[in-house]
Amino acid sequence: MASSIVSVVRRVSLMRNPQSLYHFQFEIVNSRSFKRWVAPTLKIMKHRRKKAGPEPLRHRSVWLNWNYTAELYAFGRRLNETFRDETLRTALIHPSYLEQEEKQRQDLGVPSQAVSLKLEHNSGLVASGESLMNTYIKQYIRQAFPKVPEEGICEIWEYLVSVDVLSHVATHIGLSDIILCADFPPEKITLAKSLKAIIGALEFDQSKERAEYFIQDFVITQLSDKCIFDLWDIPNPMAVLQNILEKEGKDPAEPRLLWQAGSNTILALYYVGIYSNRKFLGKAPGETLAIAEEMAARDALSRIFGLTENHKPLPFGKQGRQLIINNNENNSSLSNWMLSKSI
Amino acid sequence: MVFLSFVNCMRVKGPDKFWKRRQILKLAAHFYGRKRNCYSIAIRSVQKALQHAAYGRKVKKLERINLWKERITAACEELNIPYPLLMENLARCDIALSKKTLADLAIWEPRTFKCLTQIAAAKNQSYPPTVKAALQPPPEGVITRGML
Amino acid sequence: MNRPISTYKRVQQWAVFGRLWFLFDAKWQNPFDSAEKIAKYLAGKHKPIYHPLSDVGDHVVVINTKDIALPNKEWRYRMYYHHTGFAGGSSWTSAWELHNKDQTKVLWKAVYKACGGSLLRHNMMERLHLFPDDKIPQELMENISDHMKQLRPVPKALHEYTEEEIKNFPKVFEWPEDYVLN
Repeated sequence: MASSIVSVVRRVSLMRNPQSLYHFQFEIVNSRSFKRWVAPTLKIMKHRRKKAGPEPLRHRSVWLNWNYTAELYAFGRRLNETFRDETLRTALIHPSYLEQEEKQRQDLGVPSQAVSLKLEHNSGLVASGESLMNTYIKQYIRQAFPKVPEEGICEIWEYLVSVDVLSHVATHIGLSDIILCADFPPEKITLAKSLKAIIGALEFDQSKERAEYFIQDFVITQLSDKCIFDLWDIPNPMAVLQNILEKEGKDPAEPRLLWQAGSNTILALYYVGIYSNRKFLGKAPGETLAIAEEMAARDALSRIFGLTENHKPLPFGKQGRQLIINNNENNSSLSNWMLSKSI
Repeated sequence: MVFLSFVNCMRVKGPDKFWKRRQILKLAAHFYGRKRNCYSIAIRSVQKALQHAAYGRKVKKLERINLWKERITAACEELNIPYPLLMENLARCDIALSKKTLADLAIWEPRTFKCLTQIAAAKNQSYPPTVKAALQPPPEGVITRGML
Repeated sequence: MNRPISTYKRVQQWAVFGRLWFLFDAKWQNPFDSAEKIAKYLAGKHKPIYHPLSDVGDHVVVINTKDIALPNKEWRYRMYYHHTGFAGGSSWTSAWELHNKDQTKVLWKAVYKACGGSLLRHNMMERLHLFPDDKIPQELMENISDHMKQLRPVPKALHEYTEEEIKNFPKVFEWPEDYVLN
């Protein structure tokens, strides 16, 4: 049979030509034959893929090219931190992993005394990391928000050390692949604990300062672009405001209607201002008078606590490194409001 | 002897029609009726649609510029300065802000925009194009040492 | 606690997109010039956040439409055309006739034209409230938040001046005593 050579128009680029919507780049090449089997084969393959359903979720270590040692090294380099190998390995071992391993050995009939596991779990590092994180975060936010009362500081702190936030950070620095635990995919609480263990390991291997900067860079940065009053819900802001004014020896707050529009429609708009002895404290809009008054009280509180939208940004990065935390006292609480703290 | 050019005269079935049509039908996927499924109708409506798209790409830019102009004009009217006066005097002050930026400032940073209008008004006053402008009182809040 | 939008931002947005109610006194105003301005407010083109597809127009309440002032000889020569649809059903009504029938109609038609031909016109016209005199229903009056500036100052008629003001008005010369006015 004589071999025949045919001219085939082949698409050379998968990208669309940016100049036009549907013109791809083509070239004419010589080919032995037209591959008429391609379309039907691809169709069948697609049909089979659809029938088989999506790929099951598998751990990365199932693949052959998984190199745990290299992953551990890369983890440290990514974060620009130097860990000792043993400490990092310990920090990533969850107690549930050890239990699972022990059970597997028992099932296989291996005596536990004969070949011991010789592995430590991360509980100790978790505890040290947690205590460091708790103290440092509180100190930092007290320094950053000196006028916010202690109740607010506690709420912000609670948000930052919540399982949701910590597990979010842990996932995004790539912990979920390298931690060793029984559950897969790892639960949020496991991820949060691993992050604490990493902080503990950093303190153990390097220094307390280095671990604190890690907390500043990865945990406290979650506060940026957050409205503090969303984290700290004040149920009755007007009562709180009155309480503060009373403690400062000022006249009680007096809400006034500044302007309104469309009051007989469902799109009513009211602007309420709050004054104390004819001095402006805050103002806010609302769809009813009650909501506008509540929001105005909230606005007045945010001005008193220094939490207005144009407040100074939190010290991160270069400024965060220069931050010297000298305030070890609690901020004054709402029940014991200090005059000196106010504006 | 091998005749290389002979193969070009041979009757061969062409390459896969399927993928060629697929490209066109993909673009017609959101059309209504047989325009979506029948190739010979789809190709016509796709070509028309692409013509419309090409026209739309030009018009979109013009419409956006007109929208910025309308927004800046609205903000100018609130501050009692005509739009042409603002644009001309900002250019004289070498403040090279685009219409888009000015419109964004008018919405998100109204106080910054107000400052810009005051600078423009001061410039208009210090290099007055008309006698009337020179006779008006200078705008408040702009302190200059003849730098404008 | 993660809210989709912060509490303060929510009310701020309510305020930004809030509908305002404007009062416009049409006394001695040119209805065609006024219509341009009113249409601008109905469409929301007086706000920097304007976009043709976002519903940011305001309400306008117009009073004293019976006292509008048409320029030149418009009362007599401006014709409003209507066709009933039947043969020979065309009719032309002059502005003064229309005004006699309905004292808000001339301004209504002027605003209708100024609103442009888009599909948004109907909703814009819904936000226009016309009154022939200065009597507005109480519930509408309570909605009003602001007023629009008139395009031209309202001239004062001679009978609105007091005797004393007329007497003290500076004169260039005195009429001779034997001169008969009119």
